[in-house]
Amino acid sequence: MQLWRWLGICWVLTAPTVGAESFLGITSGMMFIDNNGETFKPVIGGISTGYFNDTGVGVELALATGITSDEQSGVETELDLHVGGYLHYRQLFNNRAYLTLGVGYTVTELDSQVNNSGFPASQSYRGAAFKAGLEERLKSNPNILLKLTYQHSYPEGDTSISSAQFGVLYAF
Amino acid sequence: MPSNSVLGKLSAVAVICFWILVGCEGEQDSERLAEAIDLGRENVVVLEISSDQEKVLFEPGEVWQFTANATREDGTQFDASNMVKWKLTPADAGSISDVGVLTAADVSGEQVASVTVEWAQLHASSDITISDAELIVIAISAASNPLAECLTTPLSAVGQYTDGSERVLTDLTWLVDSPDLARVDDSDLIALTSGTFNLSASRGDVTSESLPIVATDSLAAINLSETSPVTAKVDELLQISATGIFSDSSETPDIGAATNWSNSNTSVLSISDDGELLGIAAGDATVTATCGGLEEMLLVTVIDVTDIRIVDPEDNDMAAGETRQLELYKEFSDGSLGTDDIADDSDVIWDIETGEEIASISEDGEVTLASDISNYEDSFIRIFAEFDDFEDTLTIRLDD
Repeated sequence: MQLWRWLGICWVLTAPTVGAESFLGITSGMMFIDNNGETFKPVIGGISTGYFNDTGVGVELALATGITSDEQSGVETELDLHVGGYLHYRQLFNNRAYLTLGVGYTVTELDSQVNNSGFPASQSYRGAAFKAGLEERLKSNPNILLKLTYQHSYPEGDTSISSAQFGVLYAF
Repeated sequence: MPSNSVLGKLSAVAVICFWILVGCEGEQDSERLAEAIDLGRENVVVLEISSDQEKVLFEPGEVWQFTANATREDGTQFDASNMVKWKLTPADAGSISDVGVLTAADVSGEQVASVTVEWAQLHASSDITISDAELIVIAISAASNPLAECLTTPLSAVGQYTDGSERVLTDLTWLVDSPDLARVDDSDLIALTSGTFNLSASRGDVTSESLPIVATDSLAAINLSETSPVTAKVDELLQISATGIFSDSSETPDIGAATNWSNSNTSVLSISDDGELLGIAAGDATVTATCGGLEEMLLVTVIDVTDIRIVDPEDNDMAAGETRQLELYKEFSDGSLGTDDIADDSDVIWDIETGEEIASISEDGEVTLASDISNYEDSFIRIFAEFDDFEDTLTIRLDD
């Protein structure tokens, strides 16, 4: 086990990266909001922009909003806004694919109501987050990257918020 | 399109500003969302407060249970006292617990307050008055008087105060002048046998007038829920209830509160004041229920586990590749076989005693034979089970 751990560290430290680049793109996927034994799963869409330097360190600002709402136990919940700021490290592991890991902070604004009553209305959840992603640069157009990400936020209280998203990015 | 480095720097600045702006602050709304989910699960549409005996007038320091009644969309109701948020306003009127228990403050004069419940968007409130007027007279009454022996009737009391108000009283000390004839449990009068006695109640220096109560000699027979002889198991509980048959042929399903339970053999069983029997060791005993001068006896045989028995639900034959669930039962001291299959009990140990090269057995007693048993020399396998120091084996023949 120790050997594999050291090999992994050596790979991260020595694997090739690419030059600095900025990116801008669109994302879509599903958010998972867990509270009191229920999981709300609204479909979300958003934009993502950021920058990676030539050592693989980068920053990302991601925004998303709800496309559909979800109802569980008579409570309808939709995503008003999800904003996340991340510090990333990405590593090239073949000619065109990257593994990206990041930590950050997210703000999530939800709007819920039970039995069409208007309660509890808008809610705000803020907390630290981590994000992991896989990116693949298109062979036919190296400026286009396809991206799969999983993000998990840890707001205070008994609510957890995560999302899985697919994105198309333009790098320049 | 802006240059790479410019956009990069802008992104970095934006992320840093975002982190600074959001900082460590943040309103957490988890509880409100959880509350809404609870309400949605129950589908509650109406919330109301109720107070036993519609009591709204309280003394300083008085403790009282309020109830939050929730009504679902389908009309069914339930007690939601432990699911709602209770509030008492103004706060100096006293306190109210998370389950609706009011403790009135030591106010001077008279104070009007409001008890409020909230559950998500639903609200209800009830006005109360706390007054320091002094109690001067206690008037008591019994729901039934005369009362048949061995029956129970609720008692109530109303107090008259110096401000002219009348209030329902609950925290009283009740006194029966003939304890052999009756007793009071939680504001219920229990007539133990026939006769006439006096009942009174007091609080502080104020005592009610005596209320004569007549317990009529009307119990004709006692019927027990079990008939002799009844079998009980060691370490198992058996609830016995007593039914009163009265001279007017009426029946009261449970006269257990007035019934005295006794037992002839305490080494075999024990019986509680409310007729709950516990087997202690194998043997015989007689339980006697006494009320109103009548008694009814019940012969009880307590049995204990003496062995276990493995049972093959089929014919003790198995073919190659076959799987079979075995059963395991307790055998008792009277020779009877238990009815509960304990094969999957976590305390049971299963093993293959003979034939482990072709057979396996799960922790739940499921035997599986290998698909090829042609090289097996014996014509049987033997299963072993152990439970609480008892052991049994079962031989299963192998089909050709």
